[in-house]
Amino acid sequence: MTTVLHVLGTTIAVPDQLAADCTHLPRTDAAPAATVAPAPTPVALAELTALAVEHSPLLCVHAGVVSGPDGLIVIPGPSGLGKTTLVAALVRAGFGYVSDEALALDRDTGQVTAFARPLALGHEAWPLVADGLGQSPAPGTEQLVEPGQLGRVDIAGGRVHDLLLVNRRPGPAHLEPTTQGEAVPALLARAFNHYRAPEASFRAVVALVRKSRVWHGTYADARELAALLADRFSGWARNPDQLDSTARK
Amino acid sequence: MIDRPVPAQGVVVEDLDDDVCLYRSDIDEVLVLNQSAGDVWRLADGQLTIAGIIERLAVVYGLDEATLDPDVRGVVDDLTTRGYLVERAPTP
Repeated sequence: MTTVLHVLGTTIAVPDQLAADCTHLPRTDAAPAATVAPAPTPVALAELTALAVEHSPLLCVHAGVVSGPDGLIVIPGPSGLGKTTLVAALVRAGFGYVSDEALALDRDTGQVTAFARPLALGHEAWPLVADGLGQSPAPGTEQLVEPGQLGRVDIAGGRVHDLLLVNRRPGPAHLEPTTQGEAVPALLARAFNHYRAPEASFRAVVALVRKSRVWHGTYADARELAALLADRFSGWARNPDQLDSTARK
Repeated sequence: MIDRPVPAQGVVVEDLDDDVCLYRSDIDEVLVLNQSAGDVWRLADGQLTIAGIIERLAVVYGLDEATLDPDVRGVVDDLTTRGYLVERAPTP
């Protein structure tokens, strides 16, 4: 049995078991553009993402997205960078969860559509951001976490206000403003489907950057960078060691 | 070295504050020019020779042409090599 979800501006049918895990993805009665094959949930979730991106009319960029007091904060980056862990840390620090995987941008309006899928956290990330949410997954495996368990979920989407270009490196977390020019190639390099309308996609990325503040962040511990951002963006003073380890409702 | 540079066909241009963003969809490449390189780009409209661009910028920056010459020619040469500038087609 399947449920049709409205995802990234398109419709994808998913097995009911996966739909049950995707509590923040809207349901629809519309006919699906594609169907996810039955598979273990993390695999099915990856296929859902791939199919949604393939069929989406929106410009989809590989990025984490959270909402802050001034608007959306976008963190572009490849797989393996640690976006999901950083997004989870930001949500636990008080930012709203929009997506850990894709910035979905209307090329004409600049409006962002949320993609609030469950987060797949692995063994190493679990004690950093999911402490208190149950048993850690075994090494080499991942466990889905419903984003509401980490903090606030923001499915309204909205407009981008900040772009965060990050690198992992040893030492204390550091955050500093950088030039808008750095962000354009960083975003376009991470675009999944800009090839469908390359000129419009380029112009949409530049328009987005033009209205955004751009930051460069380095970190070893995602919680430290999350605390820096929380402090910088809203004056919240959060000590990463004192992040609430109990599940939030 | 070309003499009268003009943007290559198909290059998409967007200004971003003091920078100029160029995009070639044929090779999916973005190039961000800083302010000084962007000034060269903006003057490479096919109307001016490279010498004319140097002369114009010397006035704007308050520098002598000999100082600007290698930098301007370097920018034009780089953008030509990368396919963003071409020689203006001769007028019939």
